[in-house]
Amino acid sequence: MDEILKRYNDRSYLIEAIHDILDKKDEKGLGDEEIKKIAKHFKISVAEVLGVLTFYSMLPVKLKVKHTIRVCVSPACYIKGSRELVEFLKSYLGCDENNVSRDGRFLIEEVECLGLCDVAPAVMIDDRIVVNLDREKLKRVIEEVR
Amino acid sequence: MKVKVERSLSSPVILTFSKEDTLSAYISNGGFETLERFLKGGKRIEILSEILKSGLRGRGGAAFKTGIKWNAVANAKSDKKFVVCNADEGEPGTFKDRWILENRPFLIIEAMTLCAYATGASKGYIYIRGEYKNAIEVMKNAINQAYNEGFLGQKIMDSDFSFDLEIRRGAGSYVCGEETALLESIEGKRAQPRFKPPFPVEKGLWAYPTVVNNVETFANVISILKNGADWFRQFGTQDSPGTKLFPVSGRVKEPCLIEANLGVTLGRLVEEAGGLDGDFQCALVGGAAGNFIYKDELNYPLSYETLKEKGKVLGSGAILVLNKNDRREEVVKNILEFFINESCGKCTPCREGYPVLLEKFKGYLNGSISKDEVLRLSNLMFKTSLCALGQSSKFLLESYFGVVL
Repeated sequence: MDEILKRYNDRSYLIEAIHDILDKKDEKGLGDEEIKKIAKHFKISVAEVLGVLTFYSMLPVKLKVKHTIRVCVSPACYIKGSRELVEFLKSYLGCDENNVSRDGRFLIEEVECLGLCDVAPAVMIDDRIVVNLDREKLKRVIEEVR
Repeated sequence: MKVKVERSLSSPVILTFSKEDTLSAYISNGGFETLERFLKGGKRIEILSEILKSGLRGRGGAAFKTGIKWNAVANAKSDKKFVVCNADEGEPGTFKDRWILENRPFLIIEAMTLCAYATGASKGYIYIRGEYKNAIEVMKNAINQAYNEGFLGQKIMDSDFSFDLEIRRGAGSYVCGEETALLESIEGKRAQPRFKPPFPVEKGLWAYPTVVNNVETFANVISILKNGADWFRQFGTQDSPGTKLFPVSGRVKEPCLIEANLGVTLGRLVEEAGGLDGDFQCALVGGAAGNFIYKDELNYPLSYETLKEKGKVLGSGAILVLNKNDRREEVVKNILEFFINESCGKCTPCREGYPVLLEKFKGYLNGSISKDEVLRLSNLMFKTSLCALGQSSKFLLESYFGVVL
């Protein structure tokens, strides 16, 4: 983390730095100490860092999952059954009320248009794009990732 | 991604059928010739007047004249100026900029460099949405190659002109597509839109004059400067010159990206996308910030001014086709939920308005609320919201109910 922060000096790089830190982490999400460190580095308040973290949906706070499954629920995917895919995923992975899987490894997020409308329905599992989905294909991919 | 050129278009302006993601491929297609011509003796004023004369309009959705923006920044007196490319493509149904970024990254680099040269800017940013991992990679590589070969950085192509270009990643926020929200995000802040005026051409990044253009807008620039404004005006209509990329998805047999003249009909685009899958009900044109277009409008030209005459918008040009089995009211509910989630919370009409609007719309569906009451609220939000996000439901709902206020 120190290595990453060293690369960025001015405050405008806050989001870039957080991206880089998250990319390097096994578990997605930042803890209290890390947030304090980032605030100190950029000479801004912890509140300001938290403000940015909570504004952007791709920047999670204190999340201990390994994989994030982002299911697009915007109109193009929606009319091709993405809500049903979300429901299927939740029951298949046994998700709790925070949409974290029973084994604690997956987080399911309903996200807005991923720009994959020509191959809907689509999801992103971490950085990987999976398209033209149905339940069987989704199940297969999740078992590969797991 | 499948791409197609609408058959009446003799040759595409933007689409290519081979990738141009290496510098050598771009140069062998005539890349950086235009930049070289201007850096070695061409006049800045020539760039500005040619873009103005071409009548090119912003392709992000607002359709503002690009030449006016460039001239305003060129005329602004400031020791620092910026050029920003809005690659925060998030409008539902839209995937055109992704194609450009992944396939023709150098075209954007050259266009931004020329824009900087013409306006007197020395630094540029490409703001790419965080979800577009591949586009970010391709663009990053392209920028590195351009730096290595002297097309970016100090003394470009041995001229006196220097220009630095940097990528900034978005992080999952639809409102960042709004230009002032995007500028806030580049500054590393929560992306809440600013009051306008002042517009970014006067006070943009860190309050310096800034050009903000969409990816597709920049993608037209080199062709215009190479071939001239008159050449460009042979495409499209009088008030909407040029071609447009139309991302077509939903109930068509072959969802794809189509380049066509502005003024093309919806019917023709559906045909090019392999024809209908089921019976046509309507199309959502322009994404969540767009509106429904119906069967009786299948032969109506799609351009900025023709749709404006009907109280409608073309927006990003995204086309989502619905068939008779799709429930239009569910799409409206989906979009209103989308706006609730994406509202930045800064202004009251948008933040408080959308949840109420959704409830009222549900009330309309179960018969307890009149459509006038729904429209009254969306119209009020249109008049009082700070940015386009809070104003967008007006077009959607008016087109849903088939009335224009």
